[in-house]
Amino acid sequence: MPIIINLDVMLAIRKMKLNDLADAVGITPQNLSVLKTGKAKAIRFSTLESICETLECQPGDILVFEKEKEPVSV
Amino acid sequence: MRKIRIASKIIRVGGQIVFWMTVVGLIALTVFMLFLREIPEGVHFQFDQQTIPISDFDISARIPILIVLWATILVFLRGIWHGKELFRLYEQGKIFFADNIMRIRRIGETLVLFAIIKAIGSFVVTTVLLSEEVEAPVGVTINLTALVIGLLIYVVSWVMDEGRALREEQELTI
Repeated sequence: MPIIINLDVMLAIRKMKLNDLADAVGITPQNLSVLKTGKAKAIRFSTLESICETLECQPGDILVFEKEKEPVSV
Repeated sequence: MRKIRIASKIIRVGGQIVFWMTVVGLIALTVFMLFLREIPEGVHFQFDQQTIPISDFDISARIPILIVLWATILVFLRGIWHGKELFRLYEQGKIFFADNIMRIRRIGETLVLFAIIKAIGSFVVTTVLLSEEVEAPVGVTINLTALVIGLLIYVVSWVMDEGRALREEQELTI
């Protein structure tokens, strides 16, 4: 998927643990882990809002769009 | 859930008994038709409302009939097998999973296949009966009930698969 989740980067910058963020946001660490590993299919605005508020960042700091590289044909 | 599990277990065990009894019957039928040179007078089979006086036929006429019986029974066994596996999954508490949707789809396919095999089978049996100078109604029988129900089950399984994808998406929404 071309949407990259940079949650682990933001957690490292803020020196915060996944469990602490889960507690602050009010979701389970398992669900947050699903989001962190890029397995999630969608994110609610309310969840994104809480994460941004806790990590003091913008949605763009967590979600990044990266165009998929096309295979090079020789 | 407990009721589903108990009912599924009963149906699965019943399916297993029917499956193995059919396998034994098929083997016995093959031995009977191929290796018994003299079949007692008056023995006959009923295939799709056609009476086959097997005791009057020689081995060259018995083989195509045996092939038709094998094909029909194998398709029936395929249906029973998928049904049995479907109820095994229900017994394990797996109701709306990709695995059992696949089994339901296979049952639908089996019913369609059954209708096709029966149509081909009735044509083969009629040909054999006519070549053996036995009076038989000429024509091909198409089992419309099996065909329509099979297609319906196939469509229902597709809808269930879409539902499963929606549920998965819901579960993976954080």
